[in-house]
Amino acid sequence: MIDNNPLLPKKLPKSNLQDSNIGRLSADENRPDNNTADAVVLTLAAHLAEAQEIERRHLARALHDEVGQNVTAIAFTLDFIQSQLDEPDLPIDLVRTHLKETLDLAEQTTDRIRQIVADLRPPMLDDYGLIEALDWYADHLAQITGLEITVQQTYFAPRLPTAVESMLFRIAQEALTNIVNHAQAQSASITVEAKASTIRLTIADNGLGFEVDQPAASPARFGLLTMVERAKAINGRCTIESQRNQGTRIIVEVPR
Amino acid sequence: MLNQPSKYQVFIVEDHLAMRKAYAALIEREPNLEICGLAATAAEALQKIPECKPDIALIDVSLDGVSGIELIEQLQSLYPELLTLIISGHEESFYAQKALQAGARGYVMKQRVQLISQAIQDVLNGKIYLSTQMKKSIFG
Repeated sequence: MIDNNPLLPKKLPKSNLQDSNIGRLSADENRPDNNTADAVVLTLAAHLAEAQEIERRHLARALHDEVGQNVTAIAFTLDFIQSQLDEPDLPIDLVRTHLKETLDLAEQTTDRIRQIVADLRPPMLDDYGLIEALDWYADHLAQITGLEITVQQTYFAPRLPTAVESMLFRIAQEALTNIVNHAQAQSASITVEAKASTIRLTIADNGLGFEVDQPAASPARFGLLTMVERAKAINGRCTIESQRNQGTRIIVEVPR
Repeated sequence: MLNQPSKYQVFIVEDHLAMRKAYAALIEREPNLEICGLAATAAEALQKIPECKPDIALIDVSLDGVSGIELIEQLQSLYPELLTLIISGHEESFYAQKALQAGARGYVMKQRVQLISQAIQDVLNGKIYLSTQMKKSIFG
């Protein structure tokens, strides 16, 4: 939790989102009673710990099985090539073949490292900020999945604090992952709007939608609660609006 | 005695020492190229480039402080004739356009070791160097 961080904006005032009949879940609304809330927090904490462990395991496996093994294979091949250099009849074709394989393997390995690093933290988020990073991620995801994703924004300056940009990017990333995995949507949109005192990020899709009142312990709910918690961590508010067959809108508001 | 044909002067900006050495070794193998200077930061490059007057500068996209792309913008305003080529480990689909907009004449991924010399030669010959995939994406 990043409360009281001087780099973060002040707490957001009461919601100015329009009321509607659409099912809604947020940090402030539909608040369960204390006992239920405690249970939800504990379950969410357990879920986050498990998610973190899965992420670490995934990273460890990628580093060991892919990067580490490749580098070992490169070292072995180079050692073999070095041993051949002392041979009276240097098998030049064999050496050439092994060198080519080694170069290819080195290329594959650096490509994989770049992917791992981009997944952990896209460099464009630091270099160019939230909008450019979202634009890149939307393009990247659209190419992989075929989902049509548009990014719209109203210009604002200066850039948001790093912690806020990171958290908004993660929320959008998580929302888009949910859309790809569960929504069966044809299109999605990301909108970043600058208001007088807030920045509003909206991720919407035209997919299946869902009942936001489903039990708090259901797996689908965890991802949504994570987004709500992430928004709270930057003194913002996350509201999730959805109905069956009417798509989903995730709205995050943070103070400027 | 025959006159030796003059070699193109190459300047390298790369913050990683081992990579600076690797690029230098790669370039020295090319008969028409010669290293005229090396720098680890944008500030060092801006100080040395006027002295050695390179034909082309190879610039790493990620430098401490001022980025490689910001350095290219500065170099373009100071020395519009200087050819610049970005060498990068970052996503080409995003950074290549930024580099070209800043004035770079090409973008080559670090891991494509065998293509770096080709990229330099292409840029020296007046071409824009990008991967085939990136060229299709930008130019159709």
